[in-house]
Amino acid sequence: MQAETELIRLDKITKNYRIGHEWFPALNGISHVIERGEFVAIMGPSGSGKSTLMSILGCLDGPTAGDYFLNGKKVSDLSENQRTEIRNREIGFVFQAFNLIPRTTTLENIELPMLYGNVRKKIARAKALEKLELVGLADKKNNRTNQISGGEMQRVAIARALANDPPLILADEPTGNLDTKRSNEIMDFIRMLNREKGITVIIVTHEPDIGGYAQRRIHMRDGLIEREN
Amino acid sequence: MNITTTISFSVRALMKNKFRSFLTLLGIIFGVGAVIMVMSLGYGAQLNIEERFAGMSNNLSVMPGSRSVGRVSTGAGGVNTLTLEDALAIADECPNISYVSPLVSTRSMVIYKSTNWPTTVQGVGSDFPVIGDWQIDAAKGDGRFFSEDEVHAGLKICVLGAEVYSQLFGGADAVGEIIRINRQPFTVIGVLAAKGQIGGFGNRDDVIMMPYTTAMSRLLGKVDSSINQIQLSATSTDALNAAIAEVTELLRRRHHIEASDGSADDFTVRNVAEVVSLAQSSTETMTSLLVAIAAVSLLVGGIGIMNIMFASVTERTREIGIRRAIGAKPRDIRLQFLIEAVTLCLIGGLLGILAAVGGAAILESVFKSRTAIPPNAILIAFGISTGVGTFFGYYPAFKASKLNVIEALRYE
Repeated sequence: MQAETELIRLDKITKNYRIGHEWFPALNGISHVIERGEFVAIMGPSGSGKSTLMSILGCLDGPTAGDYFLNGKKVSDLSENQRTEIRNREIGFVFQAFNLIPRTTTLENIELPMLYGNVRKKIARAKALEKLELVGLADKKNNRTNQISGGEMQRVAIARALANDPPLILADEPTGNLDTKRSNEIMDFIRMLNREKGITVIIVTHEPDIGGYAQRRIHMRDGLIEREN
Repeated sequence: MNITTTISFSVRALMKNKFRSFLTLLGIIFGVGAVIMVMSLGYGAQLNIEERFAGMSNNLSVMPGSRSVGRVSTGAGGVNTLTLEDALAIADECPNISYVSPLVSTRSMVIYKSTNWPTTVQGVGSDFPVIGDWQIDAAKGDGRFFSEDEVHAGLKICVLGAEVYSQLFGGADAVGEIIRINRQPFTVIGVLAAKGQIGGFGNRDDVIMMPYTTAMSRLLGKVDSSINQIQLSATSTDALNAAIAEVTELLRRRHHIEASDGSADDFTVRNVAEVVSLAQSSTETMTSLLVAIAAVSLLVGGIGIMNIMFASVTERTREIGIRRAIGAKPRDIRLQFLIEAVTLCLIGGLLGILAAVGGAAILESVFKSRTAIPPNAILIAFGISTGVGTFFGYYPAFKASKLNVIEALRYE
């Protein structure tokens, strides 16, 4: 039962960007499968296409050619509105710069994906509190996002990523703005989510230490998967 | 995302930039304020006209016209073509006319003891207070208007307008006192209730009324029986047209004018209702012109809204990217910014009404212009606020919703 075990299938994905009058290839036909429950790191130097791949995996952008199946649905040729719904329900994003909404409370940040997904306000509030407890910040629920530390911000961001209980978490350099101690705390927590909650995790990083947390590392170069280990 | 949540996002975004929001508001406040204030001026003038002519809707007046001799016209009022006999004939022969009063008028100096005051003296008939809706002010002495017999007798009696009374007598008793008009003594028999000063119509209380017989012989020294006007009241509003026809027919006959051979009338019959509607339509035209000018400031305010919304969108590019990434559809973003603009305008509109009320009060006290906030002002203010907000907020909101998610997320 292949369809039930695989979460992501990429089939000859290419992506070209136009810079001025020239077309610049970012992905050159990537085919790959990620199973449910995997913890995968995408690694590679800048310009290797890992950010572009991340954008496509996150449904932030569509491929120029090729097919992308996520959770059994073909998402490569969806409209912007449909891609938005996929992002909202199927994917939790964790960014390097945390990307919390400024001047709102931690709880409100976590509610946001649920409100955009038409979850009722009362239910959203209860679930947001639950997620905040999960990341150990229940006592900071009324703090504004500028009143907490960087490590705490990233934990709030993880709680927000979990809000709609997505099967996939995409983390783009999640520890890039944190010191080693906080980095390890965050990575331990992400690994716990993967192991105990069965959430598929894909992280993008160029740090071997962080890549070490993953079960599998995909190394990219020039828009192709160079090797994996 | 439901609408109340979107509204709360928008309101909070505005609250984060209180001072900037306030400055933007000012444009809308002045715009809406100016529009409502001008409308209240127009509405005040409208009420003035209505009150000025209240109870006079059955009235007609006959004015002298021009008389043509060959191709030479004397111009309207150039010759006094109306006579006292015309007025008496109308009273006798027109069944649709219930009240008739001739009117002659002159400017005279009036003296009481050591006080003098220049005013208008009108010689009228005993029907005049009914036609012109004049009342005797019972609070200023036990007065009355002169009777038909007193008119026939040509007695040297008079009734004072409220303004003349206060200039000559202050608060003292006037009834029974003797005043001098053109050096001749007249007995005051009553004081008229004030009609109030109305902008644009002069002070109607600055007047003295006496029997037309007395005025014609004693003040004007007339050798003929020409008069300035005939004031008439039809039996009812429905009878107005019949009354006009009767009066016109009678006067043509008396003045030997054959309508069939193309001779022009040497008199004009005016319908007060027509005068009212003419005055009202000219007030309306003036008001719409002023509203159009005031609306320009609303336009400027709207451009301010657009400007600030563009600034806000640029400033929050990254926030838009985050929202889009975690599930906000372009429609959600568009709605959020649109509601922000409309909310700003609605608050501006509300404060604009208050500004208009204040401005109208200033106009009344400083410039003595009557103003009245139209009853539908609130509806109008909210209508134009929402309109301006939607119109000028849409494009920035549309731009915000079309931002590229990946670029917006990278925006510093």
